[in-house]
Amino acid sequence: MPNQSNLGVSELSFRYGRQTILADCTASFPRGKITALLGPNGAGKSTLLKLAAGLLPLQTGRISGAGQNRLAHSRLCAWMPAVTQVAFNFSVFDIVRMGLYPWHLGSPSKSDDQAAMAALTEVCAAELADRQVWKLSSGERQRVMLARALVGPVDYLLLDEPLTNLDLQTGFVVLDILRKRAEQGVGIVISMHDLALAAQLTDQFVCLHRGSVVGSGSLHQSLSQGLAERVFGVKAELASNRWNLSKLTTEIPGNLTNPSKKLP
Amino acid sequence: MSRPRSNQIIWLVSLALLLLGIIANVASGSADVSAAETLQGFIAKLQGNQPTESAGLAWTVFAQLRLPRTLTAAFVGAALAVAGVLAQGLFREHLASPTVLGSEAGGSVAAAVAFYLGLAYWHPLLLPLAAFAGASAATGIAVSISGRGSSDGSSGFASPIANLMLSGFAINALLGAATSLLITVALEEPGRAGRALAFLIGGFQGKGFEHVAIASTTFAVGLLAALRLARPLDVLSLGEETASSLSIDTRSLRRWTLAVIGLLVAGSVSAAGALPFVGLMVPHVARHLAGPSHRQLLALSAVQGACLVLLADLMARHIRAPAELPASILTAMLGAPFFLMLLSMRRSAE
Repeated sequence: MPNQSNLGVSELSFRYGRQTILADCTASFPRGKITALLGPNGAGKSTLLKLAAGLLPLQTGRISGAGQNRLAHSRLCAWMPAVTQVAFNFSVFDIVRMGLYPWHLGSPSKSDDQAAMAALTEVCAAELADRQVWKLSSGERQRVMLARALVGPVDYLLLDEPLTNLDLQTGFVVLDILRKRAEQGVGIVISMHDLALAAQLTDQFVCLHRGSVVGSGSLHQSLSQGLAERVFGVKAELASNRWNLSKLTTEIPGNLTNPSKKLP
Repeated sequence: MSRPRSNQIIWLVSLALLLLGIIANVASGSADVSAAETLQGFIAKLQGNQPTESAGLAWTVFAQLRLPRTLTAAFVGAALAVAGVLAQGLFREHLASPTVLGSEAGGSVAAAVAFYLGLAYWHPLLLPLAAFAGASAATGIAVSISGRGSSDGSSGFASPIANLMLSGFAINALLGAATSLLITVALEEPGRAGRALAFLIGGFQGKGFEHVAIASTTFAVGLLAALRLARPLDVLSLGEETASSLSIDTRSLRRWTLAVIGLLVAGSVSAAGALPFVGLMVPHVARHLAGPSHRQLLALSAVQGACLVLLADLMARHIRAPAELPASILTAMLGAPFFLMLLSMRRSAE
């Protein structure tokens, strides 16, 4: 491994035209940990993930632990968008094998075929291999796209809302897979909305609000310090009924005002 | 992985159709010559004998007129179909084609102007070069205009296809005005301007081996280059950002793909003028038959593009026989309804 430092961003700012999307964001994504990227819609989560994946030009700030060039970075981290529109009706197998492009560079071998099948099996979608991608349900498609991201031997998975469109059971299957990858040393960053789920299943969090990092570290701690109230305008209470399982109930407060006004 | 048996059948049928198309085109024409006489003429030529008068004539008709015409049609059809596959792959859109993007009109107007100005007499390569410049300029303008004002301001490649088609429409309208201008000049000055018009109205009347040379060379180079772009174009169908996250340099992929489209269109318009919609219809049919994987799609489209244009030229010679129609009228008459059908299917799918 030529590059063992953690992927991270420091003092990162990004703007589209006059609109500031990210302002002075610093965060680190350790290997072997699942990091939840939290924040309301439009907080800049997707942009942060794209910058970390090297898909947007760097304006201000730095990305540490990145690959030396495009190819090295593609082999270092896989990125999955929230929605993938596939332009042509490829088979599911073909789509998943495309995830290995940074390794085979256009001439896939037998072992690439096997890796693609293994990734599909991992997301419980082996039976979809020969199906055409346009004929999949949105949940099936999401699993296939996840297999496309999981298929390569990457050190980082940057997943933009990987749990949307999944039914509860598949969601837990996916989280189990991610947990297993994390135990193997893969660093995982997932943007998500579900605070309760994030607290239960991720190791640490980074919370964005209006383009700035407003919290990071242990989610349990931050929630007890009122993160949910400040950023999401919801109340979070911890009701622990077993020693290893913390259940979080989130309820919408009676008068839901614009939460951003409460921020300094 | 996918349907090897049916793919073999598709290839066999396509190649058989190509062979049939070549034979039918070589065998038909206004001169009344038989295959036997042609063969006699050929054998006599081989042996260095003086053939009989009818056999000699039959051989000349075959070798000087029909064979180059047929080959030009085949290579032009193949090149336009390959260009169509590239355009659809690059714009990730079934409705894209060299015609819609204005590159065919740009190439043929540039070729006509170059011919009218006499550049073609100066050096034979200037004609395809002018066509390349015209095709690339027209598409480049269409693409860059359609990219303006898109949300991320990056390029026309990420903008909705409607924008691209509207700017293509504007470019085509502009080039239509240039065409009208040339026609006006041609009416006053039938000689050179009249011949320049042939580039605007695509067809294969009187094509010789110099046209075969242009069409075949550009096709061969273009196809080889296109095959190298095939896998990246496959990955591009996942979206520009995903392709980029999979190590593809999308900017360079764009540039190369547009250049190869320009080359293929330039070769075919300098050989035979504009043949609208070949690059739209053929890739669509081939994709439907053999799946979207670009490597196979490029090869199959080349064969089927040749078939389509051979068929168009065959019909063009028979509909008003002994008078001829330009083959471009046939491809337009087939292609425009096809395009509209795709458009309506697309709307009902949404």
